[in-house]
Amino acid sequence: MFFKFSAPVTLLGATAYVVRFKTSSSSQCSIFTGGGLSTATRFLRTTTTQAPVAGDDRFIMGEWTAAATMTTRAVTADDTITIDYGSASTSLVTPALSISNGGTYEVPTSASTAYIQKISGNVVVYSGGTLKVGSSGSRMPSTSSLTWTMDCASNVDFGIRIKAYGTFSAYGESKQRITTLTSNVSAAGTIIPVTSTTG
Amino acid sequence: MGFTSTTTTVAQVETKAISTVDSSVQVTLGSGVTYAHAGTGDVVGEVFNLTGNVKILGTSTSVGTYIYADSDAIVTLDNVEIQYIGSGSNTKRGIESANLVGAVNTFTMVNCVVKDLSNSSGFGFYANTITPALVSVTNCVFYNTTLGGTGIITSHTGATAAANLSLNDNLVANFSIGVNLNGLFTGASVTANNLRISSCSTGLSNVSVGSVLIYTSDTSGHYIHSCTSGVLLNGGGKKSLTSCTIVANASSGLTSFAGTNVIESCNFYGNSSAVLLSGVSTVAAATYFNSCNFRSTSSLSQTTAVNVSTVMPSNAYTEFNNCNLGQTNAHTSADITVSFTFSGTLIFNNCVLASSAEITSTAYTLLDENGIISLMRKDGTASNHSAYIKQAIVTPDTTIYKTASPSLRITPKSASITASTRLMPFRAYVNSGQTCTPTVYVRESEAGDGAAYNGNRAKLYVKANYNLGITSDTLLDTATASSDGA
Amino acid sequence: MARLMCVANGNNTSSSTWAVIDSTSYSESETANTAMPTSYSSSASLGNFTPGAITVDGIGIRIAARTGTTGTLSVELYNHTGAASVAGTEVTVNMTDVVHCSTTNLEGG
Repeated sequence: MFFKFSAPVTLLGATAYVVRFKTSSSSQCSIFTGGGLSTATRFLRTTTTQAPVAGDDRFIMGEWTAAATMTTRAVTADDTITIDYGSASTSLVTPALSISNGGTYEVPTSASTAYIQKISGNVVVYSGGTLKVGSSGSRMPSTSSLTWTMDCASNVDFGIRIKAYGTFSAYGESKQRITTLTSNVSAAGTIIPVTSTTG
Repeated sequence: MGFTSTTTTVAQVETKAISTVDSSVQVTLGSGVTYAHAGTGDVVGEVFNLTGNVKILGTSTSVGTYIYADSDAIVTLDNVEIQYIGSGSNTKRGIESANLVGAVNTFTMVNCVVKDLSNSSGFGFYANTITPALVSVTNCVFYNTTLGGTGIITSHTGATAAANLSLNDNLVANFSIGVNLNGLFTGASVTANNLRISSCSTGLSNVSVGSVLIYTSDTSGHYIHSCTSGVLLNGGGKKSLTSCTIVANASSGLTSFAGTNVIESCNFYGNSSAVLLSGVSTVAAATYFNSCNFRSTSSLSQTTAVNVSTVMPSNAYTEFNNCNLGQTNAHTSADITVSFTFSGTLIFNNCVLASSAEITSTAYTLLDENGIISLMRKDGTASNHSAYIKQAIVTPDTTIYKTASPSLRITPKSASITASTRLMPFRAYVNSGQTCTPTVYVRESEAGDGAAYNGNRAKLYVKANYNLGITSDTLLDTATASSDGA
Repeated sequence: MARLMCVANGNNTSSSTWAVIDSTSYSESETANTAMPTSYSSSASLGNFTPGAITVDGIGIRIAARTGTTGTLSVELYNHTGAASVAGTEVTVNMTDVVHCSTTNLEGG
């Protein structure tokens, strides 16, 4: 969950900081820690921008600026060349691609495009996050494709994990998946008569 | 493009690249198929599309990935190709939904292709182990280039029934176990219908899970062919198969029984043995075949409809009702084969046995004191009954009788082992304090009756009945020489 | 290897879509979870970090479980050395803004 300041803040050099948090009522929520509040999970986002390169882990989530006020964030996975994203951590705690509430990672469905995604690390879609490839009304067209490779070093090092209330949807070109022969095919035969090629 | 085997050779499943789609009913390949594939007759091969333009891949045939959806994850995979997945590790088994009963969101896979497990302990699709719910996997292809692993499994162990679980219209080929259906299924919201399973070591399996009552709701319309074993029913509880076609399986169509099974309107063609009775010796089984057909095909021999091949417990009960055995294309050995000591009960009611050998000629030698094979109204003919018991055949005789037709004709088959009708006793009601005086008219046959009887005199016994103070079978009387041709 | 967080809607390959997460302040664990207090803890009891003279625009945390929907949740950056809150860094949201999550399946992100 990301809390965005009203304006960027420049910190002081040689100065120690902490992240503090509280609720107005007791027993409303808990925060992940390593064993106590002194090890609470937290990070700071800088204002330094850069494009991701091989080995980078990525986080996508909505930005909360005030009560009931969140700006959603959507990233369009427009890669057409192979970049092996992710730091190759096998831990689900430190995913290569983390999509949280308010965040969307979407592969587009433009025509005549061969989209590529290659990831070394886990993809985790948390509650409220969305990972999508097209939609029922906008499938990956027949002239385009997506090849998404989970670049494991050992079997099942990494995978795609969709948590409760996370969303993962993918719509490829609709094809006739299963049919039956309508007459015998001899060995070496190339002509295949079937019930239907189109469904 | 993939092609399933259409013979009893499991390994004839193959894939070839498409050159052109010529029309709505024809495709041309870049190179010819290696094996012949039947498109007509009793075995019709499937053709399946292994390609999608949205692909999720592992790295290689031995280094794969996984997709795991927690309960209440919202997942839709539609026309997606997934390759190189699976392991035996929890949450990394392949494609897995952990949706529990009580979840509100759905897991849906439709028209996808899942191919090439990266580990032989992996799964194409794995449904939650407790109580799956709101899961739909339909019209998908599960295929392994190298035989191994499991295509689809539901293995839940919870005492609560699954709900809104649909596993219909999928094709599964070249796995160690094609589809494994276990767990508590009940109600119309749970369906696993019209599965096409081929080229697996075991096509459709149901294995007991602990002591939880297991019920498989209507699983119907499956086409299971070219596996080593077509169907394995080895799980406790009640299971049913309806309107399935089980053909060209190399070892058996249906094997290894436990629990209660109802096989309705299924066809067993061209399997090595249609039904293999080989239950666990301590697990009781009651199996009913209703309106089923068993025969060879024009090109594939089926040796027998039912083969008692290993030990069966004395309380094992198998019943065939209104079935056809060996019609059109006969069984090559016998309609009924007994090849192992048999202690159970095998009943055929109003069944047609059309093969030249209806029952193994030595069947009666393998029946023990508790074993009986009963054929009633055989070939649909009234009074055409017979019972095979230990070392004897018992039939009604409408020609030779004392007072009214029929009499009971007992044909012993051993000179040293007594033929006894103890499994078919006559019963009489006796009030307290009353005396029962049974009378039996015995005739020992002469040469003109078919064969002259040369055994010991017939004996009349009253069976043990502890309620009456009869603690053992008790001899009441022995026939005399006057029973010769009487 | 860097950790990047989306800072604007846009293409994955665009530099304007992503901003760098400070590595010094980054801490991630699912080992345990601790209830949020109803007042800010003393900075001495919290893990501090010295990121240097960087410019930051927000704080990220991971909620383990939402056990109630009453009231608000506030987060701020606090100068441990100077013993003062950093102006303009406190953000308050409603508890109802926090996603449904529990420690059973660790779906809080």
